[in-house]
Amino acid sequence: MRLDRELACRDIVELVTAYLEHALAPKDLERFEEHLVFCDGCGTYLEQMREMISATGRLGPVSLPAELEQRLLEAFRGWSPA
Amino acid sequence: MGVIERAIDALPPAQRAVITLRDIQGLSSEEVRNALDLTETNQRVLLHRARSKVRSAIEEYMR
Repeated sequence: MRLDRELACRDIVELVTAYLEHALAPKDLERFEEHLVFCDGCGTYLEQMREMISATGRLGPVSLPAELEQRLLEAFRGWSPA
Repeated sequence: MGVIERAIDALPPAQRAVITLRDIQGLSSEEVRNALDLTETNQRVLLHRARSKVRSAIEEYMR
């Protein structure tokens, strides 16, 4: 991903996932981090994203929808190890 | 159900699948690309949209 001007806040919002995925080209990474140095708002935005991702990671296992659970139980019913 | 789970539940299927595998189950982007047969860019775009919507939902919730 290449950009050839100074980054605006909306670019930061657009690129935040690429940044967190370490997918920015070196030049863009430099611009991204430069922007963060002088823009508190985008610093907060990035921090919120990190907090949210970490909170999502603590949700624990996703509960199975009822019909899938039913199918799973069906598949095990009457089964005994060979 | 909390605000994050409700927001994830409301996502279109592909976005929901990517954010669930990446951020809840903790799979790597490569594992998710292979599991869902996505290009690197598509995986990232779906993850970006999903995370942006969840973030908006939290913002909305805090208002």
